[in-house]
Amino acid sequence: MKQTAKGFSRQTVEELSSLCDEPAWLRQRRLEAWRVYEATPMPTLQDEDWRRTDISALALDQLLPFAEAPCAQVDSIAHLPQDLRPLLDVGQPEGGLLVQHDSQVVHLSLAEEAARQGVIFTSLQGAVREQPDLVQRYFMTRCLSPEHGKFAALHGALWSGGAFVYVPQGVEVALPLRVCQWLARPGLAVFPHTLIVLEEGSKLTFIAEQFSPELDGQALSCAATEVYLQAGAQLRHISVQQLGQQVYNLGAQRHLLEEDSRLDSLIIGLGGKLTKLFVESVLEGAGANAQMRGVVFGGDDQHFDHQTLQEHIAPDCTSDLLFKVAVKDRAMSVHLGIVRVHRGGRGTDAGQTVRNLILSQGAKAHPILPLEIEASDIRRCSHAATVGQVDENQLFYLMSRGLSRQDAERLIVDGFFEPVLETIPQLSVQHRLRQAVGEKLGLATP
Amino acid sequence: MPQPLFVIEDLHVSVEGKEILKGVNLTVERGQLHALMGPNGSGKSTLAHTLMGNPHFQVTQGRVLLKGEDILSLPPDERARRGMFLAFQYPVEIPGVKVRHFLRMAVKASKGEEPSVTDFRRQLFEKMALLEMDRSFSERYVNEGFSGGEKKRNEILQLAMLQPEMAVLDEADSGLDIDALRAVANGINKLAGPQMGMLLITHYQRILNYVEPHFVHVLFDGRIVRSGGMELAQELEAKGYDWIAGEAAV
Amino acid sequence: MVKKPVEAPQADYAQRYGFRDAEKPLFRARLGLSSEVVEEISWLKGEPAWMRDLRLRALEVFRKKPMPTWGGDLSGINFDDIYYYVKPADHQVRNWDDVPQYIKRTFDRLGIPQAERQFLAGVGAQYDSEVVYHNLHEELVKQGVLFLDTDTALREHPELFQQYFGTVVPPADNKFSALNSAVWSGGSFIYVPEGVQVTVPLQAYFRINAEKLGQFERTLIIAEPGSYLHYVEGCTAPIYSADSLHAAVVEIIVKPGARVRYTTIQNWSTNVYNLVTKRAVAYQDSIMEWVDGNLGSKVNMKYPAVFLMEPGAHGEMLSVAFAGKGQHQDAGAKMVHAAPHTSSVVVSKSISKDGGRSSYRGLVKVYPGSVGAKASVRCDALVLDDESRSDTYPYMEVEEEQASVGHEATVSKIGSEQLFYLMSRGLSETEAATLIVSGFIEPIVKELPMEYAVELNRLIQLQMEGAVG
Repeated sequence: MKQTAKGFSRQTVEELSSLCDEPAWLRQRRLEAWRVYEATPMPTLQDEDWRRTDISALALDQLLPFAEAPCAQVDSIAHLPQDLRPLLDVGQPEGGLLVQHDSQVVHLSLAEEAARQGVIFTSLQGAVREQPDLVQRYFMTRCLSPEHGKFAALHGALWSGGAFVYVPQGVEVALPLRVCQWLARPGLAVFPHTLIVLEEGSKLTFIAEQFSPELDGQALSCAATEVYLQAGAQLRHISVQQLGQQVYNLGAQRHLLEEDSRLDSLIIGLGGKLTKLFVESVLEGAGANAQMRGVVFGGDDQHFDHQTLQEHIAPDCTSDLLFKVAVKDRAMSVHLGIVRVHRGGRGTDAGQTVRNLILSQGAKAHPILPLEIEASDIRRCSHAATVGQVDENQLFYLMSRGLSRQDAERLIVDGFFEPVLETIPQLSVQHRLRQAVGEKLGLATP
Repeated sequence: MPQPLFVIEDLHVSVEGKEILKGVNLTVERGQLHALMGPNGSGKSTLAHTLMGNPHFQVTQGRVLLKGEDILSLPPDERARRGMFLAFQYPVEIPGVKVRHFLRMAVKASKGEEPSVTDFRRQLFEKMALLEMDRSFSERYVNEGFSGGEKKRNEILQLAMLQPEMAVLDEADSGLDIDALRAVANGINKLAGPQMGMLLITHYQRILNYVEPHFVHVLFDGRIVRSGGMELAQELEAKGYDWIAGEAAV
Repeated sequence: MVKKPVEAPQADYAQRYGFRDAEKPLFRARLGLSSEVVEEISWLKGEPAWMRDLRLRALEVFRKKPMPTWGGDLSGINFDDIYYYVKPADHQVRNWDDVPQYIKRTFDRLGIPQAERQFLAGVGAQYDSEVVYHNLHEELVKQGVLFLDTDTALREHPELFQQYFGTVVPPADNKFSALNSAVWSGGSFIYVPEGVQVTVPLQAYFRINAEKLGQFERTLIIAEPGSYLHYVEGCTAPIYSADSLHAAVVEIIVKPGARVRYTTIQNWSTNVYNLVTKRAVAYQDSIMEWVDGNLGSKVNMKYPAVFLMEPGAHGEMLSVAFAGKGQHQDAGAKMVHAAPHTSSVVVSKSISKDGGRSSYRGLVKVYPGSVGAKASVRCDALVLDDESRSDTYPYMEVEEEQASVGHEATVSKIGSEQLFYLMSRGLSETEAATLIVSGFIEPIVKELPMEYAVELNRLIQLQMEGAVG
C-alpha cells in the first residue's frame, strides 16, 4: 500500500506530489503553500481567531498525511466495503456521487443527463489531468489561498482527493450531486479539496458529507471547499459533518458571489472531537445574496468553533445567517460571526442570529458577533445572539398534555432543529440526521 | 353517595408572595358544564394554571381532588395522564414540532400505548373535520404563526384527541371572530358528554349564547362570590362586573 | 449628500472649554517617566512607604506589559513626552474665593461654582494633577459621609484606604491601570455610611490645563449597606496640538442593598487619549449603574465593569458615544455574573459622523453556578455618512445552563422616510436629522440629571450642524 512517512515536511510534500504524478505547476503550488505554512506561526490561544479553541493536544507530527484507500476504485457502490454502503445508498435518484475513502476517491458516478448538459463532476486529481486550464485558474487562487491561515496553507501543500464540479452557463442540474468522505484509519490526516465553479445563470444542489467510525486514535480532517458563483448562478450547498469523536476537524469553506448570484448554505456539525471551521461568503457582485444556516449539536466533551464571515464588498447585497446550537454534557460551542461592510457596500442588508440552547450544567456557549461597518447608506445591519435553556412555559404546555419532562425537553430540542433539517432535499439524508440528533438526545425517532 | 369527579376545596394560591386566590370552593360532577366568570385580575387564569400544576403558582392552602385523589403534589404530566386537561388562553409556540407529531406523543402518553398509525390518522382527521379544520393544519408547527382562532381550535382539537375526564377551558372564546367562536363552541358541545366534567372560564357572556352551562359562578378578588344558573350570566351581562364589585364591597 | 464645512463644534469647544491659562504651576515633574519621577511624586505627597513601594512595583508592571493590540490606535502616545505630575497650587481650599485667581476664572467660566450652588451636594475640582477645591454640604458631613480628594483620604483615613485601595482594580490589571497606580494623583474618595441616602449628586470636575500633561486621578467609592449615592464627573481640556493622556482608575464597592449611580460626561478636547479603567463590585441585592456619555477625546477606550458577586446583585450600563472627525470612541461594558440570580442590562447608543469611528466592545460572562442569571445587551449605532464607521464586538461567555443571555444590535443610517415625514411638517433637513438623533439617544439622556441632559443635547446639536446638506 502506498503511503508517505509520518509527520509533515517539505520532503513529504514532494513525495506526495511524485506519488500523484503531478504536473510541475501543481508541484510548485504545493511547495509555495508549504512555504506559507512554515512562515505562519501555529495558532495559539493568544490569536484572536483561536482564543477559545485549543489545538495544542493535536499531535501533528504523529499523523500520516496520505494513505491509499484500502480498496480499488469501483463502478458500483455495491462493491464498496460493507460499513460504508448504508451511508451511500439514499434510495433516491441522484445527479452524481463521489466517494472518498481515506485519502483517495474510490467511486464516481454522474447521471447521463448531467453529463450531456456538459456538467463536469470528477475527482480533483482527475480534473488536474483532464481540465488543467480550469483547475490552474481556480484552484487555491482568488477564492481560498494558502494565505488564509496556517491550516489552509497545510491543506494547499498536502491536499489529496476531493472533487471538481463545473456547471456550464445556464445549465440547471436537476438532481443533487453528492460527495461522501469516509475517514476510517486512525492516525491519518486527510485533506480533501472541493472546487466548485458555477458559470453564469447555472443552478446546482451540492451535498458534502464527512463520516468516520469511532477510531482508536487521533485523526485529522483538514478539508477545504472553494466555490465560485458567477453572475446569476444559484447554489444550494449542504455540508454534513458526522466524524468520529477522535477526529480533529480544521476546515474552511469560502464562497465568492458575483452579481445577482445566490447561495443557500447549510452547515451541520454533529461529530468530531474538535471543530474549527471557517465559513465565508464574499459578496463581490452587486445584488448577490447569501443565506447561511447552521445546525450544531455538541455532546460529551465535543468542542465546536464556527467562524463565519459575511463580507459585503459590492452594493445592494443581502446576507442572512441563522445558526442553531445546542450543547449538552460538557460540550462547548464558540461562534465567531463577523459581518463586514466595506465602503462600497451601499444598500447592504445583513443579518445574523445565533441561538444557543444549553441543555446541561457544564455545557458552554460563547457566541461573539462582531459588526464592522464602513458604509452609511445601508438598508439594515443587525445581529442577535441568545443563550438560554429550554423554555419553562413550553415545558409546562407539553407536560399538561401528558408528556414526561424528559420527553417534552427532547421534543423541544428536536423542534429547535427541525425547520432547518427539513429543508434538506434528500429525504434519506434528513432521516439520517434526525436519527443522529435523536441518538444524541437519547430520543426514539418519530 | 358516589364520589364527585372533581372538587376544589378552600384553595389559596400565591404568585411571588402575593395571594391571588383566597379560598376557592367548587365541585364538578361528570356530565356537568360549569362556567366561571369574572373580571380581569379576579384570579381566573391563576385558577386554571394551578389546577394543571404550573410551577409558577404556589398553593398555600387547600386541596384539589380528582376522582377522590388530591392531585396538587403531582407534576402536570401526571395530572394529564390521570384525566385532567387545560385549554390554554395563550398557548405557547413550540417551534419545529409538528401538530401531528406532538398529538401522537400526547395520545400515547395519556393512553399509555402507541396508537396505530392508521387509527391515529383516521381519528385525527375526523376530529379536525368536526372543528372545521383543514388537514394541512396537522403539518404545521405547534401554534407557530397561528392566528388567534387557529390557536383556540388547536386547543379544542387536543381536547378531542385526548378525551380527558375533567377539562378546564381558559378563555376559550377570547379574541375570536364570530365564525371561529361558533366553531369552537360547536366543538365543545359535541365533545361534552355524560363522562366528562367541564369548567369553562370566561370574561364575557358571549360564548354562553352557544354553549349552555348547567351552573354559572362569579369569581371576584380570589373568591367565588355568586353561584347560580344561566340567569346569573345574563344579569352580569346586563349590569356589568361593577355590580358584583359593589355587592362584594357591602 | 453635499457637506457643508463643519466648524461649529470645534469653534464652540474652543470658546467654551478650549481656552487655556498661562501655565504657572508651583511644581512640575521633569518630562517623561522614570522611577525617580515616581519617587518624587510620592515624596512630595509625603506618602507612607507602602504606597511608595506600590507605585514602584506598578511602574515595573507597566513597563513589562505590552500595549494593547486591539481597540484604538495608541501608536501616537509617546510616554517620554508627557509630564506625569503638575502641581498648580500649594493647598486645597473649601471656599471658591480662596482658589488662585486664574484657576478660579477657569472654573467660573466652566460654570462649576454656579452648579454647586444650584444643584449639587458637594464638589471637587481637579486642575492638572491636584484637587484645588473640595466642599461637601454640611448636612452630609454630619451624617458621616466622606467626600475628599484621594490624597487627603490616604493621609486622614489610612485604615479605610488601605482596606479597599487596589482591591477592585489591582495595579497589574492592565497596562494603564499599572501606569495609574505608579503615578496617580488626585481623584475622589467617597465613603457613604450604612443607610445614608445622598439624594443630591456629588460632582467632580477634572480639568487639564498644561500642555502634554498626563492626568492620572484615582477614585475610590465605598457604599455601605443600604446606602445610596449619585456621583457625577465631567471633564474638559484646552485644545493643544500635542497630545495629552488621561488614564484614570475608578474603584467602587457596593455593599449589600446599596445603590450607586456613576454618571460621566466625558468631553475632553480631541487631542486627549482617554484610557480609563472603571470597575465596581456589587454584593447582595445591590445595584450599580454606570451612565456614560462619551463625546470628547481623540481615542477613548473605556469599558466600565460590574462584577456581580452575590445573589440578587444588579448591574446596569447606559452609554452614548459620539465619534466625530478624527475621533475613535471604543467604549463598552463588562458584566461578570458570579452568583445566582444576578442580572445585568447594557444599552449602548453610538453615532459616527465626519469620518469618526465608534465601536462597542463588551463582555457578558456567566460563571458556572450563576443559576437564574439574566443579562441583556442592546447596541444601536447610527452611521451618518460614508466616511464614518461603526463596529460592534459583543462577547458572550455563558457557562451556566440556568441562565439567559441575549444580545441584539443594529446599525443603521437616518431613515429617509423619517426625514421626509419630519420635513413634510416644515422642519429643515438638519433640524429633522438632529431631532432623529436626539430621539435615538433619548433613552439614555433621560437618565441624566436635567442640567447634564440639557448640556448633552446642546453638544449633540452642535455636532449635528451641517450633518446633512
